[in-house]
Amino acid sequence: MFTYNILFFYRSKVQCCFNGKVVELYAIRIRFHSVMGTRTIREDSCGGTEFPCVLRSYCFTMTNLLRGDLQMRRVIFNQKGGVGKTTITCNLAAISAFEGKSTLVVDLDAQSNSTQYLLGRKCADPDITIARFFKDTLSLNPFGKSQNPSLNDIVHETPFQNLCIIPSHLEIEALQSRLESRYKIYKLREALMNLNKFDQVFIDTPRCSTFLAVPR
Amino acid sequence: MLNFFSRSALIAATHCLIPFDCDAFSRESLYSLLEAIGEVKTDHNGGLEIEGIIVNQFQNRANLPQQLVDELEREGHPLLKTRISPSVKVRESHSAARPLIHYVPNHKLSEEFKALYQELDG
Repeated sequence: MFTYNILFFYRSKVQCCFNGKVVELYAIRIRFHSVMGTRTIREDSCGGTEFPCVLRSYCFTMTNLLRGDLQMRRVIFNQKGGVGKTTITCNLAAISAFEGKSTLVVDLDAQSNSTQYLLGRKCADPDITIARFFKDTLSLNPFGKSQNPSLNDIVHETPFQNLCIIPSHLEIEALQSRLESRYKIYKLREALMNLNKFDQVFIDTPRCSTFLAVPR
Repeated sequence: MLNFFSRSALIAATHCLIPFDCDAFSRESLYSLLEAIGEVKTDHNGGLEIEGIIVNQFQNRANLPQQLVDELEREGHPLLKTRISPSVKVRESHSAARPLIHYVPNHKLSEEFKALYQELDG
């Protein structure tokens, strides 16, 4: 984890020559100063019209930073199957761990390919997988309130140093419609933000079986 | 159109990577894919940043992959520079349950993944 003292927000207007036209661009940057040095969190340049949009997205990043949320969470996403989601997820995560970063893979694919790749087997017991977490979000506490379950108990160590995984299970498929109708889409974000021992999180997503390519 | 788990993941993430396997069908589905990401970004996760499209299964000597990649570049899609080649080592590493950096540390493919990681985090 980083301890930070100054948050630096920077904006300047620059003129560039683009295809013979002079355009005004805004440079925008969030830098992070800490005892461990300075790190650029985000850096962009954008045209005048895009500026409000970019600024809005920066505000979200700033909010997360101010809440102490410095975790890098990457989702590897494509609704088509066989494009290399699992391979890319697990291999980037393995390199990140190898470089000494505390890394977590979250397998959200009911087929559990990432789980098998990193643990060498699927998990037979759904109660030690992500299925348990999603089931818990659906259950109510004794006072009838919905719960915010933790992911801590379902993090598994892999044979590789610094690399952990939250395995998947076929059972999540059956939970899907209930999770959807009860609007549990924010639960994963909340739980991951509370799991702050990881610097890097890689999320593998399932293919979408009903997905149709829409040509233009 | 997005299923619950993909949507949850896109909401939970700070960054999004899109693998592209140099196939005409993938090329066509890219538009609806980017639309879906854009929708989640607008409605639920304004901080979500598309880090880029990873060109996977890229064969240097074939014409089609280069053609597809050129088209995407012309249309202004955010392609990452590192290309990942096809290799039988991927399947071997799946079956050995060891990521490439541990299975074949000096193989070209391991180098490509390291380059990709550097490009993202360097």
